[in-house]
Amino acid sequence: MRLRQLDLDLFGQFTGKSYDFGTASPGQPDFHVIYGPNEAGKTTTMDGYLRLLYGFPNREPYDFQHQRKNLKISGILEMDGNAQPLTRLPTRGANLLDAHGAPLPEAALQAHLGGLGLDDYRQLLCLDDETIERGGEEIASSKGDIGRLLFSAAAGVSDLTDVLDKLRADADALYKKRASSTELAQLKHALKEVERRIRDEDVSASAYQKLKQDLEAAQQAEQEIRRESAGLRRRHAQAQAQARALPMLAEVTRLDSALDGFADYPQILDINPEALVDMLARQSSAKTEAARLTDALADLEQRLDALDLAPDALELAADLQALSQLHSRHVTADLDLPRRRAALGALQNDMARAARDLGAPDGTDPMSMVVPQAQMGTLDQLLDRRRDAARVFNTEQAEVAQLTTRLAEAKATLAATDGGTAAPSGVADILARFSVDRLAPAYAAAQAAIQGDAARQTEALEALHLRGLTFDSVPPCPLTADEAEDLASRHTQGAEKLDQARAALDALRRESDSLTAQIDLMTGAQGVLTDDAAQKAIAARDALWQAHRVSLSENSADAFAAAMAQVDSQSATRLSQAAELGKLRHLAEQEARIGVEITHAEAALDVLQASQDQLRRPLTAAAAAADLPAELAPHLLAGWVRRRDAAAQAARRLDQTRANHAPVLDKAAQLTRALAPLVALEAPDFEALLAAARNLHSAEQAQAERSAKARAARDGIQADLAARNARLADLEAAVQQAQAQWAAQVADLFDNALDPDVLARSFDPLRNLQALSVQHRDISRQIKGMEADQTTFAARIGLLAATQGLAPASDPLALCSALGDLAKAAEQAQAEHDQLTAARDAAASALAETKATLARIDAQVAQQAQIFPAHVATGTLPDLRAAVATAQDVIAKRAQRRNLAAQICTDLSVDGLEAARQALDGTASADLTAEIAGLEADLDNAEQRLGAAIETRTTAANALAAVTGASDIAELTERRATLEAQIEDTALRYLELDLGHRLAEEAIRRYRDSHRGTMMDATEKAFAELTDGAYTRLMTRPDGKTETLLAQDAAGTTKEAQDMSKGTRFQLYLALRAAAYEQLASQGTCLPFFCDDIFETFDEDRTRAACRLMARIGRTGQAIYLTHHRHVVDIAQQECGDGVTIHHIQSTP
Amino acid sequence: MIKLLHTADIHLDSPLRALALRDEGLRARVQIATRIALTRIVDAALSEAVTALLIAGDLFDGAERSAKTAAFLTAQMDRLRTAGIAVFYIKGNHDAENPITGQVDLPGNVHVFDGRGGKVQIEGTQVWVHGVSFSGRHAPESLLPKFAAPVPGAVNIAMLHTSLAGAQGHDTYAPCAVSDLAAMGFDYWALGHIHKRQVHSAAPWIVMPGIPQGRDIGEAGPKSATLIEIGEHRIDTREVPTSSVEFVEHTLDISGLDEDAIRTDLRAAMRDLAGAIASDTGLVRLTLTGHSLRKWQILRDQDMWTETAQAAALETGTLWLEKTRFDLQDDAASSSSGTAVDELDGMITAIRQEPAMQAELATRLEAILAELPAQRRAALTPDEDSAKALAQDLAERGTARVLAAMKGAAE
Repeated sequence: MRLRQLDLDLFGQFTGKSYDFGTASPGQPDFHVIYGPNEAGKTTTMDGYLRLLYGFPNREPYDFQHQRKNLKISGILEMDGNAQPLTRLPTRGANLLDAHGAPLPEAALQAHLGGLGLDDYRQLLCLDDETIERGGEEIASSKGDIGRLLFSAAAGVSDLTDVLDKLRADADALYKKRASSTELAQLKHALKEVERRIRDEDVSASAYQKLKQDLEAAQQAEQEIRRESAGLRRRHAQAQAQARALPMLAEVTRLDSALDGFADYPQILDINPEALVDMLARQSSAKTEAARLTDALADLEQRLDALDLAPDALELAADLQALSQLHSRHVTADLDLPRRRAALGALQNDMARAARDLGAPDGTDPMSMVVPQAQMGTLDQLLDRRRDAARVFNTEQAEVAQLTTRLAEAKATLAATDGGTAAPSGVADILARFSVDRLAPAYAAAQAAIQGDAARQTEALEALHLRGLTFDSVPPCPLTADEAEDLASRHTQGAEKLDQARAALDALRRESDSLTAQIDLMTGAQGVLTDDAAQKAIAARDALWQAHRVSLSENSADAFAAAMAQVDSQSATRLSQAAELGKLRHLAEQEARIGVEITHAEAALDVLQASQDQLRRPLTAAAAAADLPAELAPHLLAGWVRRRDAAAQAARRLDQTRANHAPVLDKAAQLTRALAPLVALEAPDFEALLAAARNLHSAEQAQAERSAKARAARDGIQADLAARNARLADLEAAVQQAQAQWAAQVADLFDNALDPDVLARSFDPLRNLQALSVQHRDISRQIKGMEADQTTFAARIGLLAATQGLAPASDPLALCSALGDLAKAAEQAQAEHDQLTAARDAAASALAETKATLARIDAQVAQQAQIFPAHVATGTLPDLRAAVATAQDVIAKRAQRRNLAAQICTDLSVDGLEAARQALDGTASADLTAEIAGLEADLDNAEQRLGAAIETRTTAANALAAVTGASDIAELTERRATLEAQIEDTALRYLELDLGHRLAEEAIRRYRDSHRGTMMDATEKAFAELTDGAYTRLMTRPDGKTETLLAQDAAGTTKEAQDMSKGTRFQLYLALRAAAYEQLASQGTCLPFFCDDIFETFDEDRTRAACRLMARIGRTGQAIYLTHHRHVVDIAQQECGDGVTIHHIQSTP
Repeated sequence: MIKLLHTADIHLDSPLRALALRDEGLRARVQIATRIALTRIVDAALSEAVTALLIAGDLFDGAERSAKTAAFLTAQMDRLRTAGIAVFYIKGNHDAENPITGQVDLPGNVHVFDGRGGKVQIEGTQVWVHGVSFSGRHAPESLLPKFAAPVPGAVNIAMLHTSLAGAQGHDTYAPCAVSDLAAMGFDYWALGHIHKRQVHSAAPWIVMPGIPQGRDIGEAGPKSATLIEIGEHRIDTREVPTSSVEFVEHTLDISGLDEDAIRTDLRAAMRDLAGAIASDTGLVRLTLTGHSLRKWQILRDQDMWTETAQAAALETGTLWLEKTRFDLQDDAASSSSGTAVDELDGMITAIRQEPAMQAELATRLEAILAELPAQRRAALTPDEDSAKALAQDLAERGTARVLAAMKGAAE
């Protein structure tokens, strides 16, 4: 099958992309290179082809530009010599259509694909650099195992060893003999663990029965020991009780004798002996106290009688106290009065001075000058008003003067401005009428555009300059640039071919000449007899023979003999020259053949020349039309025609631009005419005129503005001045009024004693006078008060002295002191009397109390003594204490005896002491001690045995209790069953991989044996070609069960495949794949072979060789190579010439 | 109406043989299914208020002999005793050899028939139960002669553990024909031994109740006990579900499907299965069959497909995947024959049949079988023919694996 045409109608980034692979020419390789830069869509092209064959996948990665449902690929496939147009659509079912859009069965196509599926096709017939790379690695990793190499290449499984190793590794991960980390080993380990746990933790049914028996036995043993232990314990307690009771009984007997004779003592005693001691102490201290109190009473009475009292002097102290304040004021006034009187005199002097300062006439009472505070305020206000009025008036006066000056200035300015004004020219109207602001830029743009295009046209015309010819306008030309270039290029190619043909003819002629020379040399100098010469001699001989037969003369005979001899001699010579003769004949043949070739070459040359002339004709005509020299070289002419077209285009553009801008230019001309009379310029251009007009316009505008401004200034100042003058008059009146008011007030207040203007200068003297008058008033008041206090005090003291019978005295202070001494003496005597009376009363009362206490103690002693029998002495407190102590002892002994008796009865478990005595009768303390020690040893022993028995019983009970219905063992059993199932599963999975691997190895070995011959030969050829003869032979060497591939180089040394360089391994793999392709083709499956830039790592020589290999594949089937390397294209063309077709993919935008 | 519950072959504490149980989640869910089955039988007896429970042999499994099994059984029987339900129990081939049988102290409500046979009247009813136990592991002779004649005027129920006529290749136990049983004059034959439920006859009733909990793929499907309802004039029976886990075989034909469609079908199939099972949990053995263009890719990616199937099963919440098998054929239309891989395939097929290679395969099989526990080994290859078949089957699958890897290697 062959791909004639592939149309990527709608696919990936392609729309309507088509590849025409043409028909295969017999004898030429069917080799195509598709060249396009990266991302241009080489891989897309290949995938498109595969979709044409096998349909679109459900998940289509090429639906990014066109939706999947719109995708479409068509093409023409040659199948069994028929060209079959096909279209593939992405629809479900029946998506393969023929030329008429009728569905075709898939089988129609499948039948020609040799049963290859899509993946098979990719693996076997689509080669890319990754595959080559892996293939090269496979050669290394298979260690040159020829079986693997052949199969790997034939199956397109470029990493066969990896595949097999992966399977082996997968298998080994499951199981490996004696390895512990495999899945199987781990499962078995887990199984062992589970089995161990079952063994350890389970209780079998039979063991369970035994456990039950064990528990019963242990329970029985424990009961036995418990019983024995209880008996021992009882006896031990008994013996211990007896041992304790023996000494207690002896004590009872002793107590009985001690209590003899005290039977009538009280059974209980409610007297506290301590209280008795206390009572004794209180009795003795009360007696001592009574004696001391009696003595103290007598002493106090005596001291009271000795006291002297003065009752009437007692009130004097209070009276003096009432006068104490007056007394102290009197003392202070004595000190202060002279000072105050001096100060008052000074003040009066100051005031007189202040009055003078005010300008009052001498002799004026300063006090009359003192102004009250309220009047002071009024004075202040009037003075301020007078001052303010004067200030405002002054300010306004200054303003008026300033305004008057400015008015004069304004008037002068106005006069100056209005002086030089001319009449308006009317330029403003014209500028407005023509909308100059819009027109001017439009005019400039128009000018620029026209000038630009004119410059370009000039440039284009200059470019036409050729051999001294120049052009002012675009010359005519019958040819377009494309036509001229096409003709020129064909003419150039023709010229090359013509040169080649001439060279070939020359070579042929030279060869012919060389042959003729060789022949001449051989026939001439070397004397080689040519066939012609020999024939001539023979013919001469035969003629002479005929002549001789006719005449039979001696002459004729001689002549014949000589001819005969020459022929013979020639024959001998020719015989000796047999080799040279052969060569001569060969040379002659070659000469004849080359003669024919020369004739053919000459004819071909004529044809080429004629075609050149044919091409030349329209070019010459074109040159003539443009007045160019007729002999101008075609490529120069083509270039000139292209420039001429450019010039023509420039001219057209200039005309167009001018037409476009005509309205603007017209309007500009009109404006020029309107402005010209107004502007004093000689023949102005548009811009200059416009600029002058604009200047004029703006000058006129400025003048008008200035004039208006000066007039407005003058009018404003005039109005302002009038207003100010009016106000100034008002202010003057106000000043005079304030002055009058002030003078009136001063006159009124000081009774015309003061000058208002003097007072207006300062209020300070007035204020000073007022302050001094206040001080004067205060000091006068103080002096008067002090004098009054002193008089009052002297009077009151005088009265008091009279009541106490003292003589009056001039100094009231001395009199006051004497009265104070009298009052103090009376108070002291009264206080001592009161104290002594109180002490006497207290001592009398304490004595009575002490006597009562003594009486109470005596009563208590008598009452407590009643409980004792009469024969016991209890009269005094010490007697009573002795009786109580004896009674206490008796009661304690009685209690002790009772306790002992009770203890003995309890210990021995008997009812009374009698029974106890009987029970202990005959027992000895030593015996009991020995028995107790024996019993304790027995008990210890029993205790130990009981502990052991309890432990045994508990263990047995626990063991039995552990056997519950719990599911732990059942779970472990199930786990065991699962693990066993897993082990089985793992083992079988392992075996599946192991056997598969084993069988594959074996089959690959056999594959090697069956394909070694044909495939090795084909590989050898391809490899030799690829390595450019560096390796000429491939051979194998048995290596155990496998065979290793060896390559022999031209020198005869061999190299193992894995020792080759990486590049050489790639070549070897490529050779293997080429051989595989041939094998596939020989089996009847001959399909297009795709390579996607596999020469990436190849150097130039290898790429060259690889191109030859592709061409070689192209001789068997169809080889399509996709590349983005320009140099690969070049090399392919160099190597294969017409044997390769180049297809370009344009990089998509 | 008197109700009785009839079961047999509980094989208490006998483990499930399921690969799926390697999954911890599943283990937590279905641990010790035979215990659950017994518990459900007792639950049913209580809720249906039956008068008696009939256990027709193989209560224990021959291999399980833990006292804990006995303790569990005792506890369950005690539940029935508390409710006043009698239990009638005959020993089968597995019970007879199991030491638990002799050691366990069953509560007083359990009546165990001995090897001599006997009959017991169910207290307060006109129902008599007859039964004969196995006295040893084997019972090559019919046990029918040991049965006493039915009690006239009463309902007579006979309990027998028997393989009936027996099946080829299996030992026979207490052999007898269904017609022999029918002729004995009993009203209901409560049989045991065969794990697949079968009602052999309705007049009289001859019922093999089947195992109450299947333990491997060979005992697939839902399992039950049989409830007997004795009315005035007739006896009715119905099934009481007992299995908590059931094994499910499922085959999915993937002919003409692409990967997405297979995934979709897988999910749908799992959902359907999950809806169809009668037990709480289903363990699925899945086989993918059919003619597929994607055969090699699927074979190459079989681990991934197994995972996918497992995920689809788990999605249902009730299904777990036990195992996946791939039994795929090439798509008829596209079967290729031109490539070197196909040629290799042909060679391997030929090599497999060669005596030398067969011997080698056998050796390799034997070596790996030595790693298996003895009883698994015996079950896997009981004889030479089965070993040979197994080796061939594995070799064939292994070949497919290798070829799939080769075909897929370039992708």
